[in-house]
Order: sequence, then structure tokens, then C-alpha cells
Amino acid sequence: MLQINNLYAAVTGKKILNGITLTVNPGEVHAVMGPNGSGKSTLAQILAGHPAYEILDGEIIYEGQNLIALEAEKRSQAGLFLAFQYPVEIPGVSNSYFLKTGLNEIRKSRGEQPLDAMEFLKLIREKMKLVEMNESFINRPVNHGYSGGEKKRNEILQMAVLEPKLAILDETDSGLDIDALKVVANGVNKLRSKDRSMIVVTHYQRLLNYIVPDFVHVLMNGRIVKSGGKELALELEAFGYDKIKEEFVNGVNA
Amino acid sequence: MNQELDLKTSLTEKIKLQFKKFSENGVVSEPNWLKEYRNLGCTNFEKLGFPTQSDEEWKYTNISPVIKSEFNLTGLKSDSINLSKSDFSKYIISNSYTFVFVNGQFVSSLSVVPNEEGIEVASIKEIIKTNPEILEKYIGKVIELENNSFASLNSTFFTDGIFIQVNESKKLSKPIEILYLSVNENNSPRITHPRNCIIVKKNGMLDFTEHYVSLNSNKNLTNVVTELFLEENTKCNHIKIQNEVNKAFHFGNTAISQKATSEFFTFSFSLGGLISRNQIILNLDGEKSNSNMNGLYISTSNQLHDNHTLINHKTPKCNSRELYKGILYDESKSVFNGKVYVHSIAQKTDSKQTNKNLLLSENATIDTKPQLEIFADDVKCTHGGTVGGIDVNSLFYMKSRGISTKSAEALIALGFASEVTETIENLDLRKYVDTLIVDRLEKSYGNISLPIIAHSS
Repeated sequence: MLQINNLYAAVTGKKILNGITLTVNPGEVHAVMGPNGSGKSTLAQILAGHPAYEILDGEIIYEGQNLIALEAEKRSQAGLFLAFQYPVEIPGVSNSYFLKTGLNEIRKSRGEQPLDAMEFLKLIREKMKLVEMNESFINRPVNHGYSGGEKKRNEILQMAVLEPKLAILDETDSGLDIDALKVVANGVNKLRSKDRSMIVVTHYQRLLNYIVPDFVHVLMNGRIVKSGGKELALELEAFGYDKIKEEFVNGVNA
Repeated sequence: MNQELDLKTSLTEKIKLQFKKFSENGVVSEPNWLKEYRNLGCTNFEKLGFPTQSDEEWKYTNISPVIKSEFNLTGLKSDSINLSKSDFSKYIISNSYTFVFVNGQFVSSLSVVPNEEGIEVASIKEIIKTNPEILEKYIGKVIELENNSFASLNSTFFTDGIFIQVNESKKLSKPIEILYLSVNENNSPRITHPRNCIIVKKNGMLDFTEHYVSLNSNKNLTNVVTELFLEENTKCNHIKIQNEVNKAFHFGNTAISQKATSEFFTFSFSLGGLISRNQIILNLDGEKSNSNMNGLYISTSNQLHDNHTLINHKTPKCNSRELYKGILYDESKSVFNGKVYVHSIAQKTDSKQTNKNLLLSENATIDTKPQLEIFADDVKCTHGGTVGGIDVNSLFYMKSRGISTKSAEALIALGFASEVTETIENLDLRKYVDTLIVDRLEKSYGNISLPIIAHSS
């Protein structure tokens, strides 16, 4: 599904990623953990196609094609989705129009018929149940005036509607209380399938109690310094990032 | 310089001659106070001439195309234009009364006039004949002619417009739309001088819209003066839509006096015209009055939209909020000059002024100048202006959901504009204005289709 090879990237001249290599197969859930400033969110944004980042070296192959050459909307149309850490407010544009436009662009690119207003309404209502969102959000402007929790739910709603092949969740747990976290994680779990892969970017292990990953990677200074199974997350929770940092500095994993 | 002087001399001669003709032509029966007022306007204009860019207030607005157009300044012209409602039905706002003016003259057969107790509405022409005493109390009482060429010209030559008086504690069951249609059937440029006089007596309420459109593409100039008198504890919502043809010139002067605990909302939308300028002078003349002044300009091709506003805090404990937004395309140009003036007596003033611009072409220009002048010491005042392009993160967000760059940009522009209409209370009016925004943006992006605006409330 996704193959990242020796990826180096920078933003405004500052190097952030220093040789990332990662393979994600269909149906797998990978957690990417790391301390602040390790490059987790940068990786997520680069995968989705944010124009601010400069790729210095390496490649990203998604379903056999060179992802770096694609504009963000083409990546979305190819089945890639990013749930934003900070969802953007779009005043004046209703949630339903926004999502319907996106979904129909994606369907068009696949040669499918666009959904009409009634079909779409039926779909969005059904998907809203998944994240326990009130139907009033259908006509409200995108994220405008929403609470932090409502914004995160809205991200997962979008994921549910757009049905990506590869979903990247960027700190979806940040700013959520435990009840909201459960709702969001529950929504995500219902979207897990043998064909759908996920990359879950998080600082804390807490989210991974609810979205249990197949693999855990620890990112430091723009490199994956340690990989393992879900138990690695527990280890991090117990000993913190410092222990791994020490190992890394001492050359154990370098 | 000599050439400028020559031009001015010939203009002075021209206006003298035209005023003489105008006076002989039917204003003989007018009351003396009105004749004197016209004289004052004429003398003022003779002194001032048309403004030039050497005048600080007109620094960024070059009106030489107006001067070169050789208008007959009186605006007098006999023409018989027969219109039916279907010619302008798309400009009629639903659930409003409609006062239709054709080339500046009221046409009662095309209008839907309220017949409700406690509201006096008539054309200015009618009121001059039937009840000039009431006009005498208000005409020229809030607009200042000094240093104002266009208001002086209007005061010299106005013949018609709307007069509304809402009596004490009264309100209409629906808003009033004043629809000014320009229908210039031959090619000679024509000028109109609408004059509006609106009074809301104590505890009264009024919603009204001034709507300026052209029914064909000939050149015209609208030179309007609107005076508003809001007494104690009144509430008034005012919308002005300037949607004339792209060859038109529009000069608007609006002056408001607000008495204690009154509430005023105004929204000025500049959409049409080649050169247009709206000047608003708002006087907070009574304690604890509230004002919201919003504006939007969407400028394309070689349009010039100029907005000059002055909020005069003359009494303590008043609030004012001003938000003007602009979207500029192509080679268009906009000017925002907003001044908030807090007099020394106006303690506890709370004022916020904002001007935000979306500059969507390298060749478009915006000159923005928010200004604060404060002479009281216990006040809360802020102001600011921004000029920028499409926000990169908003664009990325939309693209990451599969939406194309062009659609995403149009939606972001739509969202940008939506903030200024959000606070229009009457939903029919808001919907009408929103539709105009959508239509204009759809055209600007090559006839793409955009949704109706979604508001938070």
C-alpha cells in the first residue's frame, strides 16, 4: 500500500525528516509515536501533500505511484486521507456541501456517478451515527465555531464518508476528554478493515488503548529509531521517551 | 496647474448656467428655505469643483473619467420610459415593500407602497409639494456640504428620493426596499441626484434597503445623499446595495444622527460601477447608542470601489463595531479609509474597527487606512487592517478532501465574504445579499457552481 524510502524533508530551510523508511501493508494499523518536534506531524502533512514542505531526498510510493508528484486533491482522490491535528475552519460553507463536493470529486476520479443531494444526505446521516454527531452539523459551516471535540469528530465523520484506503490520523486524541476520545476511537475502529490501512500519529499511549495498532514506531529527530509491536507503546508509557533517547544516543539502535 | 484652473473656471460657468436653467425650470414654487439651500449647494460646488487627487481625501481615487464625461449636471431630462415589473423583477427583494425610482424619479405604478398606521412614506417630490415644513426640519441637518463636492451638487439639483418617517413607537410589518433603476435609453451620459430623508421617532423601528441597479449598459452617474435621523431608543437596519453596470459612476453620501440608546446596523455592498465611492458619516449623538457598520466590496476588471467612513463618538458610553471586507480580482482597485473619532466628552467609548482584504490578483491594488483619533482617556478602541491572499492551510484542507484548487479558492472567498452578512437580522434580506455574493463569485471563477452561504446563526 505505502512504501516510504529514506525520506528527507525540510520546511523553510530547516531539516525535519532525516531518512524515514516505513512500509504499510493493506489492513495494517501503524502507530507513529515520538516526543514534540520529532517530525510526526510533518510526516503526516507531507503524506497528504502540504505544499510548505520540501522533499530533499527519498521517495514515497503509494499503490505503485509516486506520491510526491501528486497534488493534495489527487492524493485524496487516490484514497488517501489525513485527519488534521488542527482542523481548519471554513466559514460560509456547510459541512454537507463541503463533504459532498469532496466525495463527488473522488467518485468522479474513479469513474463513478456523483451522488445527488438525497443520496448524499442519506449517507451522511448514517455516518454521523458512527461518531455520535448531531444532525444539526450537516448545515453548519465547516468547523466554524465548533468545540475541539466536535472538530475531531467531524474529521472522523469525513473519513467515514470519504472511505479512504489509507487514513492518517494526526494527534486525533489531542484536546479530547476521555468520553470524546472513546467516541472518536470507536468510530475509527468501526472503519478498520482488511483493505484499509491507518497511520496513527500520537504523542501519548492513551489513544492506543482504544485503537490498538499492529506496529509501533518511535520517531526522533526525524528518524524512526525503534519499531515493534503494540507492547512498545506500553514500554514508552512506563519509561518515557528518554530511555529510548539514551539507547539511541548510545548507538544501540543507531 | 493652469489647465486645472481653466477646467475649474469653465466648470464654475457651467454650473452657474445650469443652476439658472434649473431654477427657471420649475423650482420657482419651492419654499424659500429650499431655494436658499440649493443656492448654498451651488455656491459650495462653484468653490470646490470636482475633487482631484491633490485633495488628501481623494488621493487614491481618480475621477477624471467622470469629469470627462460631460454630464448635464442638473440631471433634468424629459424621457418617457415605460417599464413593466418583469423588467426588474429579479431586483425585487421578497417580503419587502418596494419604492421604484426610474432614473431618479418615483414611479408609483411600479411600486408597492405600505399603508400602515404611524408610518409616513412618500417621494421627496411629493413632500416638497404637500408638506415642505416637515422636510425643512431635516434636509441638510446631518449632512455637511463643506468640502463635499458631490453632496453640494446633490443639494443643488435633487428633485426626488424617498421620505420615510416612522412615528413614535411604530414599526412596519416588513422592510422597505428603495429600488433605483437606471434606464438610459440613448447614449448621452446622464446623472441622477436621489435624496433620501429617513426619520425614526422615539422607540420606533425600521428596516430598509437602498438598491441601485442599471437596466442597460449605458453610462450613468448616481449621486445620492441619504440622511438618517434616529431618535431615542430606536432601532434601524439599513442595507445599501450598489449593483450598477460596470460603466456607471456612483457617489453616495450617507449621514446618520443617532440619539441615546438607539441601535443602528448598516451594511454597504459595492458590487457594480466603474468608479464608486460610498461615504458614511455616523454621529453618535446620544449616550449608550450602538452601531454596527459592515461593508463588502467585490471588485473585478478595472473597477474602483472606494469606501470612506467616519464614526463620530460625540457622547459617552457608545459602542461602535466596524467590519469592512474586500475581495479584489484582475486590475481592480479599492480604497478603504475609516476613521473613528472619539471626542473628549465621549468617555467609556467602546470601538472596534477592522478592514480585511483578499487580494487575488497581482495587478489589483488596495489602499487601506484605518484611523483612530482619541481625545478621551477612558476608552476601549482597537483597529486594524489586513491584506492577504488565499490562506494556505485552508486551501490545503479543502484539497486534502478531494476539492480542486479553483473550487477551493472560490469557497474560501465565499466564506471570507460570509462574515459580513452573518449579522443581517432579516433573513430575506440576508438571503438576497448572499445570493448576489454567490452570483458574483461564480462569475469570477468562470461560471463554477457555488452553494448558498451557510451561517452559524
